[in-house]
Amino acid sequence: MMNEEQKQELLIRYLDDRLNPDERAQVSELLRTDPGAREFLRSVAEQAVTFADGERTLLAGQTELHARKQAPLAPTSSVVRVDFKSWLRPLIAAAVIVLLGIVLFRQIPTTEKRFVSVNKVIGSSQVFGFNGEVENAPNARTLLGSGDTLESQSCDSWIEMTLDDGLQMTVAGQSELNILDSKKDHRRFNLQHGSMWITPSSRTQTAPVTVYTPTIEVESQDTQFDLQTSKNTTIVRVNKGTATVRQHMDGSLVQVPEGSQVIASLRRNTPLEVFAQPTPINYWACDLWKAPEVRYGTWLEPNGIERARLGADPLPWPMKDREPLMLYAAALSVLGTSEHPVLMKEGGMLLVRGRTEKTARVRFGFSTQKMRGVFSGKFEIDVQPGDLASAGETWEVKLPLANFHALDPRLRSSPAGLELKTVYALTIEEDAGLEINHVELIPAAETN
Amino acid sequence: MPLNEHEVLQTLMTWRSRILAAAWVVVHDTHAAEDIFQNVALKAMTRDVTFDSEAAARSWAFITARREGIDWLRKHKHKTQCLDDGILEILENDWLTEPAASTGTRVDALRECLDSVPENSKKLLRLRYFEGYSCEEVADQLGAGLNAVYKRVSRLHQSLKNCIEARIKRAGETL
Repeated sequence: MMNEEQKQELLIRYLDDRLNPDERAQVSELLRTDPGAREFLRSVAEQAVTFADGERTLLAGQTELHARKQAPLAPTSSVVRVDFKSWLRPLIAAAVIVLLGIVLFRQIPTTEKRFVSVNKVIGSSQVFGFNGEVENAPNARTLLGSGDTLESQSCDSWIEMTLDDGLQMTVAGQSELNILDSKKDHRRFNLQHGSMWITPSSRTQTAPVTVYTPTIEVESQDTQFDLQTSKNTTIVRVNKGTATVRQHMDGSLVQVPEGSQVIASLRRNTPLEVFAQPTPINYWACDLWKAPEVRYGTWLEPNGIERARLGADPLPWPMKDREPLMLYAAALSVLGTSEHPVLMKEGGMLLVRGRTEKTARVRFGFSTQKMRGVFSGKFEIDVQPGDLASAGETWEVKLPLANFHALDPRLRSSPAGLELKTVYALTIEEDAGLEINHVELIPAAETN
Repeated sequence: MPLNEHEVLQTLMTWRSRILAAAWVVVHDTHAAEDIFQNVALKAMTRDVTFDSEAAARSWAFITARREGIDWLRKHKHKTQCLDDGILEILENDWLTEPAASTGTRVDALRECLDSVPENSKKLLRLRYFEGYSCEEVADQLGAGLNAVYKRVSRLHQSLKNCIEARIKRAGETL
């Protein structure tokens, strides 16, 4: 007859997959007949997932920024496998740095009002300080306060931040965020352009936050929402809680409840209206000629073959101790081209048509978020020149989603089940005259 | 009248921690459990399933999470020792019959209890449940014996369980 402690240890060993067949039978019998054992197992399960949840929000690192410069390009034809152990160590180191940062952050006098702690920086970014100082490569130890401007500059970049009350913010792609002020009970930001995700702390109540964009202001507390803005349109989607949105143009004010969205556009010139977020679709074709929202790049003249030509623009990636690395990028936002969220499913593929004036390897990528949830990272793949057409000729590549590798596998290792946010293509260090003519997401059933 | 999409999602979010926990009992991997919950929520929104009541949505979610978990094990050729369906059903039933109102309270209490756990215990939980190390690997990292790690893990969970119950009881008394 086992005592309670022995029963609990047996269950812990079961969860460690270390039981022989006799002991497994013993566990089955115990769980079938002993409500106390089941209660313990359920409690262990709840503790494990809640602890992991908390850690997930705390985790940060800056492993990609330097690694990506030197990393060999990913092959086109095979799935890039993530070696858990190899990225785990730097990630742990990065997490330690972040935790140290948080400790230091908490020791800084509040008079400096540095209430935003950068947790993770991936890709090109810059900070323009309130005092005129420019930081070319902010990192996981960077602290920000009132008057600072943070720019995530490249289509493949993103920055994660935590406020001193635990609120999580992410800006991604080409985004410019001005930190306005932090009063005792209210924080204000201005998102000049780009995409932003706000997630309240899972552990404590956070102060109200107001985010201004060129068209609206959003006020919220303990609300999970995302917003995407350009100079004349803003889309706000509330995934948890409620946000209050006011349109600058006419002062119209709406409450946006969980599962709803609001679109403010200077072109529409109508009062704000709240809609339920539409159901997702899994096929998406981007009609470039209908001029969707370009996140980066320049429209080129039609050339007789292609009506829509989005050319890559140079994009300097500032480096701390060296000349900037030049990228040449073109990027499109999905949200502007589809009324429905676009859902990626297992077995799907991205089809891209385009050309380069010179032979070059091209990096394709996309950003994601959870359906009605938080930012979930970016995925990329490199295609070698041999897999593209000759210089000057149009190519069409079919890129299985499973072949893209996650820039941060901890956020999500596979894009299946995530919402597609932006799609981009770029060349590195060489202007190859890259242009994109067509982008399409093809679901599994149609790829066979 | 069937639940609308918003009500389904709200039900799933209210029961999130339990559905996650149920998935974890199958796969023994917190990150996989999170992915499974995400898939369950997606299926609820994108498939032709309707629910006449919250109870039906809850019950469907637990069953779907279990099946997704078993699929995940198969797909990853995992050596995880999975309980048989009958026992998983009993566990799910225990979860389902606990009052829904207690879900949020329990999770809040658990978070508070986790916050008060000493750093070396947090390290143990982090290695085991966040980094995904086996108890043997945790023992290596901590320079401890395997049996000692089993004892520590077991006692830590029991003390957290006691802490949660005490907090819930205190909260009940102050109401």
